Amino acid sequence: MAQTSNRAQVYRIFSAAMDADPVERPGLIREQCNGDEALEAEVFALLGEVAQDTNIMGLLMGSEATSVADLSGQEYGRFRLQELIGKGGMGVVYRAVRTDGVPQSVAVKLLRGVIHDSTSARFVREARILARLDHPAIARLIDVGVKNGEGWIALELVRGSPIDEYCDKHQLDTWARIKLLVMIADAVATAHRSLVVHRDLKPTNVLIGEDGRPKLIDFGIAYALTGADSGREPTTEVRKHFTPNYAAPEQAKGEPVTVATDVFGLGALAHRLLCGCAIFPQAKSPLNYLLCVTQQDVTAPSRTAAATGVDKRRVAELRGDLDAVLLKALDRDPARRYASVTEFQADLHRYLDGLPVSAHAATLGYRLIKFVRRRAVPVAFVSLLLLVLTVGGIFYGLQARDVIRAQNFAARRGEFLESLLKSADPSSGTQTGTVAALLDAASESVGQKFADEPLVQASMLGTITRTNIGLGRYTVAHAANDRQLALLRAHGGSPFAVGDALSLRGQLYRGEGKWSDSEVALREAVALLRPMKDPSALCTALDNLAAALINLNRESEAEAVLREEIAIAKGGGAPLEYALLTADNTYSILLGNDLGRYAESAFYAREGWEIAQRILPVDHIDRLGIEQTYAGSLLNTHRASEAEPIYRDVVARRARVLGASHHDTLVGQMGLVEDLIELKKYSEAATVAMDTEGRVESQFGPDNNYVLMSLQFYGVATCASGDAAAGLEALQRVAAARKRLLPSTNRGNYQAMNGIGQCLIKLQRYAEAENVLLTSAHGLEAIRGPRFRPTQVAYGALRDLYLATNRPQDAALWASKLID
Amino acid sequence: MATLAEPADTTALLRRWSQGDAAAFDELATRLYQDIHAIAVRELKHERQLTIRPTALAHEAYLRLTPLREMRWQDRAHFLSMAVRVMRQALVDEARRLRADKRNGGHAVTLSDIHLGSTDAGFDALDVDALLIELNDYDAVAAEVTSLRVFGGLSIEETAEAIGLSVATINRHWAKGKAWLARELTRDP
Repeated sequence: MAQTSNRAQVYRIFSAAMDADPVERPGLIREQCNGDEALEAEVFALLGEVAQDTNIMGLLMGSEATSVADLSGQEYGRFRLQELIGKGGMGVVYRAVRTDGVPQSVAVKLLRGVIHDSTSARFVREARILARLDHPAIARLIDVGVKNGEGWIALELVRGSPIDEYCDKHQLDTWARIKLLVMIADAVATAHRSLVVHRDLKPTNVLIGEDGRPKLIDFGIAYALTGADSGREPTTEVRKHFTPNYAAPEQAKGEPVTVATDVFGLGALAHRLLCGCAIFPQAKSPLNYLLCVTQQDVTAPSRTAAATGVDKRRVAELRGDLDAVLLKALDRDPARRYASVTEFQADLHRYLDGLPVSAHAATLGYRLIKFVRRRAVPVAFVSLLLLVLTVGGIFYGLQARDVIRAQNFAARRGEFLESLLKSADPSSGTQTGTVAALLDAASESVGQKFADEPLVQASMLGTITRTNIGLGRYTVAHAANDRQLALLRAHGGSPFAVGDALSLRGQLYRGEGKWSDSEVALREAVALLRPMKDPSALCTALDNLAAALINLNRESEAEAVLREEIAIAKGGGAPLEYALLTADNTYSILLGNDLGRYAESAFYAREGWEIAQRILPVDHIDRLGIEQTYAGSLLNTHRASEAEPIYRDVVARRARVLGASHHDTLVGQMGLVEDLIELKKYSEAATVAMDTEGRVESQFGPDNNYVLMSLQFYGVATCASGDAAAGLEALQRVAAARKRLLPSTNRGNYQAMNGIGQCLIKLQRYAEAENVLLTSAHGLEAIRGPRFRPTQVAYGALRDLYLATNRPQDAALWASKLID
Repeated sequence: MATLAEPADTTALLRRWSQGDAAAFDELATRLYQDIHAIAVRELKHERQLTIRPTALAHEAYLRLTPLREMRWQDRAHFLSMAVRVMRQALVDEARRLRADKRNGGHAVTLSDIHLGSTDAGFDALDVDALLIELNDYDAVAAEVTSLRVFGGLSIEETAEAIGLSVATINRHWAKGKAWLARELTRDP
């Protein structure tokens, strides 16, 4: 088909055939081609394209390319892709397994859109913030990385079906559907408190597992991506990505996304679940949706449901309260929606409890005239409302006074949070979209925004401080905290507010290891908070104070503080169970690690462990913490074999949740090593100790205490398993480093000496051994007492030494000091 | 994005135009061209592979025309066709410029939205444009329908509205134009 004339002819015949009845097409073509086989072949080829329904723009509007190269078998970080399990707006999803032998299946999402080298580090950093999200209904982010310029994210693998399918398949009633929505709202609200917005709430991102509980996937990934992209215009893919039927107007317009966007998304999800259709069922294409959502108000759900033939009972259920609630969530203007997901959730709760919903008030506030005309509203209700309106335009008229205040405050907070996220607008030029930058912007603007409300301003600065501490940004956290305190002191902040601010300050110093400063701030905080009626705030301050005192080696004061905290927490019932478990954990460590009071330590570990089993999700960071403490208490009370499976389990779960090289995982490994030594499983102990040592050293450098501790355990295990010379060499390295880093009376030095002494005995260098062991036995006795486990180890070693050198009297003397 | 027209200007122009001011239409087209060209330039500057999704481009362009809903439908249809033509021109101009740009190695601009069966590669904007120009000689309606769909991201319904033909007719023309593009674009060189 080389000549244009020929091409025209091909098209003309093809076009005529298309206009004819399909049955007549072949005959028509043969007739028109008149024996020209090449021509005929070309026309049939064109017709073939039609028959094949080649979908040129099949996915044009909104959906994405269908076929992708199969990447199964490729490795991303410590994961190997196994099987393509999904395709989404932002990329493809594979089921993957760990390459390091840990049995764990994850979902690895490969994100479309190129991440440049200069931004990849930031992408990883931003995305890791998402890993802090900890909620049973949020699929956990396990790891992130960049490979070949494409970001990837490893998430908890969730098996379940999209919520809309699930609800329809199980024919859930309105009540059950709302209950699911409440659970989802709770997860979203939790994320918002960590400054993470989901941005893409839709049925396929809410999966219902076999247990009937929802799990949100893809949390904030778009956000992390835009964060990573700042500094230049975001990629087309990400910024323009929106999901028809669920995207909020501001999203469709490419405007900044805020918490209000998730309120809308949740509203659209609720609409789908409760009405059985999208908010604009007439919008057939994404462009149509875009025009609808940016230019039209959502119709009352009951009317939409009635128009789409939903059964009458459900329409009746929607009419009234649910209409009001959904319309408030789906308002075109973000400022008129619920100020937070929490408020939206509260209204859903109120509906479930048969209470009046707050949305009515707001709806009426804005649409009073229409509303009264449209419905038969009881006269009393209308006049009450008018009264409320004339009083000052506050629309929360149906609530008790203190609730009004709380809501106003929450609303202002919500708006502020919103403006905070708004400042991430990539088009505003110099702004970078990182959480850190957001906080800094907020910190700057909070002064003007709340200029005449210094106490509100102080509260915002508190939030900013807290979030900065969470990010490890201590310097800026200090600055915000200073301003917070200055405002409170200048404008008569309540003792509670001042106490809370000081408590934050103490926590800040704790993070920086400035223990004396921490103590000063926390002492003042505790004094202010003690008379208050908020035991939870007091417990937090006490816990931080105890940590400071432990690090200042003032164990008995720390003990008094912890006892007070435990007493308060015990009196507080269920709401303070979490505080109690935290205190139990700290106290058990103090008793076991520092005071050598192992039986008591075991008691508190057990108490905390039981609470954690009951109230915390299985992989919660604090549950893992108390489990390790519990295992440690078993080890200390001669139940090493019971401790072993717990240590192994804690290590495996931490490796899965936090990664194999995470600080906490390595600390768990060290506990396991100690336990294995106790159980005389020396070769495994040595192997695990070496692994720990390597991983800690590569992250924290050779002088880190954990490097020295694992090297020490390695030395002890190696020596005990027979290679005394190698063990001795390792232990001498530890001792030399400790001598350089710590005062000679430190217990770490003595523990290393214990090990050295044991090796020397094996090597039959008895005189040297005696010298070393006597020093450590006396030293440990002096600083930690005779019942302290390392002290006991020294005693035992001396007994062995004297038995070996045939000095039974000396042996008996040291043996008598042994508890068992 | 300071070079882009303010939405308020667009609104005023649209009003003047719907009141019969022909000059306003020209002005609108010029502004739209500048807008879309700026968007295209911006997108292409940041896309390593010089791919562009007309869908995304179209979304952004339409968003600058927020009063679209409020226009009389005849005006709206007319305007949509004009907007797509402008969009196509802007895209093609930019693609041509990039191809000629020796410094970047004479890259082609790829339309990633165009998806032809098993072949997954995007297609060169200039190829698509040339094929549609050729098709216009044989079948102007099919070419217009295909252009509105491919370069404007319009749905069948929207295309029907813009051209003023029934959905069934548009479907038939679209099938023809689509087959034409598919056959020519996937032909072995």
